[in-house]
Amino acid sequence: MPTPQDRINTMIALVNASPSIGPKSKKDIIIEFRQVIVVNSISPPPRKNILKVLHATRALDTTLRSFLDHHGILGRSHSIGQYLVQLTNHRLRTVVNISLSERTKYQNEIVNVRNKHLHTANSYPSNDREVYQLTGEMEALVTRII
Amino acid sequence: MTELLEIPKGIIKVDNPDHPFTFDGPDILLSDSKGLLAIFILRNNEQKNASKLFSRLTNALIAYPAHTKMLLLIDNLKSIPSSVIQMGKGYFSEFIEGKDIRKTKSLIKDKKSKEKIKEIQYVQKKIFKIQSLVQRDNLDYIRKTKFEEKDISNIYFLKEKAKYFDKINQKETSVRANIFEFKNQYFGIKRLLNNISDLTELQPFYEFVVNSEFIVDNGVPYFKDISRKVLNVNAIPSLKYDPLKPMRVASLFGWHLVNSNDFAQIENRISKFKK
Repeated sequence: MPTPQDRINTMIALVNASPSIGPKSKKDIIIEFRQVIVVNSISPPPRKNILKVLHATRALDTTLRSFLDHHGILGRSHSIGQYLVQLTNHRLRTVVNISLSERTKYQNEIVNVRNKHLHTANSYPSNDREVYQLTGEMEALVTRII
Repeated sequence: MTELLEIPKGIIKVDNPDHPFTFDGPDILLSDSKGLLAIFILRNNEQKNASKLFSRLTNALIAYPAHTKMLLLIDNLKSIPSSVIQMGKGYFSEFIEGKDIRKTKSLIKDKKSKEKIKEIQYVQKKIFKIQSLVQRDNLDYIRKTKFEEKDISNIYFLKEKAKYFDKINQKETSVRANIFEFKNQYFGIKRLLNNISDLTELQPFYEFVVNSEFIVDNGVPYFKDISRKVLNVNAIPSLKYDPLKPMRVASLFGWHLVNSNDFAQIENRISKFKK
């Protein structure tokens, strides 16, 4: 069975090869992805889990922003939810865009869940499964655009 | 074999990559800032059954960035089935040998054409629109359904196994997994076990769709339609480190999950999509 390290290594290889992300951002995103594994040894578990969510979110946030910026379609967006809108609405034929249905899926499964934990005092993922479900969807979204 | 490869400096090598949208895929990734190589190595079971190799390659063509070059690494000590040599040219960007890995940078530099990349991106956009529709439907269903152990296989009129045209052996073939055709729709049945990965257990259901609904032509994974199918399971399929993956990949191939022994309920999951 693949390990979390296998997944993170795959994400790093994909980001590293992307023609749509600048070198500085690539370096930062790769560092964030590595942190998702590094924090595994932290205890207690709620702190470990919130840090995993934080590092995966920062990797996703910078990936989306760099992609949009690279193609000149960042506009005034400055949050993952707004980046999803830009990815759906842009009309550049040569640039990957996502369907309205995909946007809804990622809004529900990533943005809403992540906002709950990162913007609410004393809110933590209830267990490892919730963290892996959230980070798995974040990784799925990254692979759609790089 | 992979540990003996001479990887140039500055190249990131990933053994056994794990992509969120693949049930199986390349054996190695080689990445630099200019591009990505996905290396496939013929496995023992694929020497006997080459369609296994082509189905994991097709999955990779669907899931990996359109610019990814798919390469078959030939081991001179192993024989290669003639079907792999004949059909492989239409699937892989190139066949390479172990010594070619030293030239990774020039292999990456020699890119796919812009037209081909655009064509793959266009196909991927259509596929992932369907994937997201099916995954949202599956998530809604899972969240309001209590999955239970029940006799999910006791539907007596599901007798006729689904068939597909095996492009490797050029003949119509009955699927081995419990996938049945009834009134022009597909019904899968799978009792998931605790000691085997759900992703592995569902692999024949994914491969059926790759084999029956996709045609790879010159490295582009074309499809006419990803039909809506029902997969009756005794439990919600899951994977420890990416719990949604078995369902995410099932959604990619048009499988709507259900947990029922009532055919009306089962059929109801996809009746609105009936042709």
